[in-house]
Amino acid sequence: MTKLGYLFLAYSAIWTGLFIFLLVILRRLTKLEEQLLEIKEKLKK
Amino acid sequence: MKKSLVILAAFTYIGMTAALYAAFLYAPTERTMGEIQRIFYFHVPAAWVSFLAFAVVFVGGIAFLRTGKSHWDVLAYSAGEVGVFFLTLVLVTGPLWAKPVWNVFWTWDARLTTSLVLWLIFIAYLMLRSSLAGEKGARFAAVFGIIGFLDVPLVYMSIRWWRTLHPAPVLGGKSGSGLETPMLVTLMIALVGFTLLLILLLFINYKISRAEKDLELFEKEWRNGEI
Repeated sequence: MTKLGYLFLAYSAIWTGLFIFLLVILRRLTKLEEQLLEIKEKLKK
Repeated sequence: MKKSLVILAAFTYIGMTAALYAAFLYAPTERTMGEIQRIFYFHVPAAWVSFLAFAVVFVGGIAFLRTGKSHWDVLAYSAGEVGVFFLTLVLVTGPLWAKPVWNVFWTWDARLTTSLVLWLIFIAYLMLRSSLAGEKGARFAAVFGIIGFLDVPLVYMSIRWWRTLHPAPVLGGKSGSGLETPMLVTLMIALVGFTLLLILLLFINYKISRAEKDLELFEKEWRNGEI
């Protein structure tokens, strides 16, 4: 692989890492939202 | 969404875009390594912010042990997660830089080994904190995080104390070391961009962790009939 290829891989790894980090945060937010809805339902009863 | 968060996100975006522009279009090509040296402008700032995040674990741990307030424990854990994320980027981009220059992805030299040990320490910290519940678990993890942070100065000083394959320090190194002005400016821009990114990710991560903890507490009290 050329040096430019390794450079591309390194920067891709950074963006991929950031993307995965944001996905994990999004998953946690969704879970929180579900839990809140559940509590809301319980409170209604 | 809070206005402060939007402003922080906007500044982070500007900082990171400026860093990308400077790394590829402003900084000159290094004479011996060529284009691959441009990894430096993201590799070094990622390492820098991981150290900052672990410093937050250290401070948060001490504050929690002193005050017993749970928000310090949450802050330390959130910073640990963000720190591990940035250090993972360092450990991935490092070998990709090393391969075309040293002809190997990995070598057990002092800088690389101490960095890997730091990563393992904080992976252990995160596993420990998530597996131990309650005040006692939080205290144990705080002590672990404080001791774990002691590896940070070791990583930083490793290329000064020992002969390594890793490049010598370009900032605060021996006489004759240093960077050309455009390279130094690029590094500074990237350091600012990454520091803003650290603050943004830590802020979001802390807010979510806090909400998770509050909800967990609420459910516990609800089940016990305290509410």
